[in-house]
Amino acid sequence: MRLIVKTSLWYFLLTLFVFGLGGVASFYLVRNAVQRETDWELVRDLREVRSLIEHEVALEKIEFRNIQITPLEDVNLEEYHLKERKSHTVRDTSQRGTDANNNIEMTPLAYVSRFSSEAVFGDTLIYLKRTGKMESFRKLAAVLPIQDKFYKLEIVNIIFEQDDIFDVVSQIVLRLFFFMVLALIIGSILIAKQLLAPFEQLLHSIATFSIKSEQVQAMPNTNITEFKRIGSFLEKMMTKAKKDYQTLKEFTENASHEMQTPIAVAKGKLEILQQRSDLNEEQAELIETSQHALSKLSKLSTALALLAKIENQEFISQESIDFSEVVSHNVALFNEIAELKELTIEANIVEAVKINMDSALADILVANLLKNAIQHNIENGWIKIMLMPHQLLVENTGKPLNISPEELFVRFRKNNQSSGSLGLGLAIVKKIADMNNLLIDYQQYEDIHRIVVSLPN
Amino acid sequence: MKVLIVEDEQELQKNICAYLSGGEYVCETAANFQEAQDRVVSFAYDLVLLDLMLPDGNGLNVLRLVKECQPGTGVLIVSAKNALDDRIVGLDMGADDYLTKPFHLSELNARLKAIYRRRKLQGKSVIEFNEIAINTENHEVTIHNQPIVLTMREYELLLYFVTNKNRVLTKQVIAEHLWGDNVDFLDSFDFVYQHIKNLRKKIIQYGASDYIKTMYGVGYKFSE
Repeated sequence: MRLIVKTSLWYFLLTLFVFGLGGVASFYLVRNAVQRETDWELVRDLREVRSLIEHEVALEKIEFRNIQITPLEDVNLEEYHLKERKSHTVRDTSQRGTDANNNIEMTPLAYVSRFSSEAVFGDTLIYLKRTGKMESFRKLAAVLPIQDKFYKLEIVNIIFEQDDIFDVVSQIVLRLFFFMVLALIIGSILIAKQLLAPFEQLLHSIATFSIKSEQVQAMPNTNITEFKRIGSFLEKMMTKAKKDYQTLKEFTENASHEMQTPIAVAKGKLEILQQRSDLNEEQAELIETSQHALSKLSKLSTALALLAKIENQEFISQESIDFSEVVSHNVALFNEIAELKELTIEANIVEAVKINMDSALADILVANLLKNAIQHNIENGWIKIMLMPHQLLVENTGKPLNISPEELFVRFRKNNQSSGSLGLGLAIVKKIADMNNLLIDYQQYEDIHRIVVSLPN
Repeated sequence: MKVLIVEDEQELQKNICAYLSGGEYVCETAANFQEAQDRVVSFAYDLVLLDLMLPDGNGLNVLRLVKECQPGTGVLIVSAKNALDDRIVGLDMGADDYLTKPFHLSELNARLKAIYRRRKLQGKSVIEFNEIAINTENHEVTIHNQPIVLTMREYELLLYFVTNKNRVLTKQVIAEHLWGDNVDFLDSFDFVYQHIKNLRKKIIQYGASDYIKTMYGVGYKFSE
């Protein structure tokens, strides 16, 4: 998943959470505000009604659908005042809670401070002809003494229903959310294009980095601190890697080459010594053994240098070569040597098998396979070489293995540790195969050994 | 044959001189580019033995100089680098042959003589050893003026023996001369014996003496 998609997804979830919470909060805020406003309106109406009665406007004129006035004849003013004072002590002005039992709300007395009597808020259901069903109403009921007379006033106002509030709030929140998500998507596209461009460039630099090329990778020109740091870090690392590679390459080459000269000196001295006519057989054998050891040392150094070169990917030319020709050529080359060792070679080579790899490496690969088959053969043994479009098969007779076949591909691992071979031939084969994505398999059935190299395409 | 040996390793110089000076060679040495330049400009040589890695310059510059001053001189390059490194470069620039370190002195001798034959003895390419005559141009061998039929390997073996006459050749040296690097992986070179036996039989059969002497524990020597 791309970074920008993942970030956007997180922002989306976060937005969803915030808007959900905001929606719930908005709903309660709006509902409370509406309720408070409804109550205020009722109180205002009450005052107005009171002032109208005081100005002796006829009650019929004041009475509307939502206002009901009942003059109370039989209430004693003195008694009422007394009762009222009692109730004042009971009710605290700060309390405006809902009475759970009768669903009656007490309004703070401050609201109606100009009234000597209490005002009571409540909810009620009234049948509306217009809608044809019961609707909730807010009701303010109060008994007021106006000009020596008591009036019971009841004012109702329709309540803005919770469902409607919910609808409105959710509509608003949903729209906001939609715009937010839209902004988020556009934002992430812009961010991906603009902000993450140096990042993409860094990735490109890493992907195209080649340890062998002299060319320095271009780092993005950016003012973002993090990318700047990655850039300079990468630059340092790449320069260091290139330098190390160069040093290692030079070292392996030099080590191998420099070693050959002293070996040549020693071998020459021994060869001159061999020319002396007064050598006895024992001395001659000592010289011969030393010669062998020196030859081996020289070959070892060459083979190790070759392995290092393959590992360092110094053979990179990927040309389409005629693999059939490479195999035929090597079979012809080693045929005589196999005959000298009294081995028979049988080759079955399909023409024109093409393969993409360095021609020198292809040659080394085939030559090493054949050398291996000759070297580890038995007396009067045989070698079979088969090249098919998809695989090269080298089969030979030989002594049974003491170690697992896979181990033969490891450097210096030999079936017979004391044998004269270097133990590098198959390691080189394996390395070449690995570098060129060829699969290689060693099979052994009793005294028959088979190496299969699977060719691509 | 006058040979200039351009090699910075003193001991290797000594080895080559010691081995070659027994016969028809006159050896001179140069240890660096400067010395080599002086000598190539001042004296004529039949052959130049050139190490490509010199302390004060690339040996290829010496090669260039030789080709300029003495176009008829044969050049044998000796280098620690092998075919996969830069063998081709020297040959492209006109060197006659190339030998990788470490080499057998007998092989060096054979290569130098081969170059000499090609370069200097265009007309006279017959090598004679008593009753044996080897024509290196058409690969014909005669004994007492009678042509003798040899296989390619037997011919090469005989030529190698005659070129390195009076020198001891081990089986490994012979094997590597005949089959090159392709036998370097073998533990034993006993199969050389078969070829030597056949060659010996043939030359005796045609009336030549048995010149191939077996040196026990060492190898073979072609001598009177």
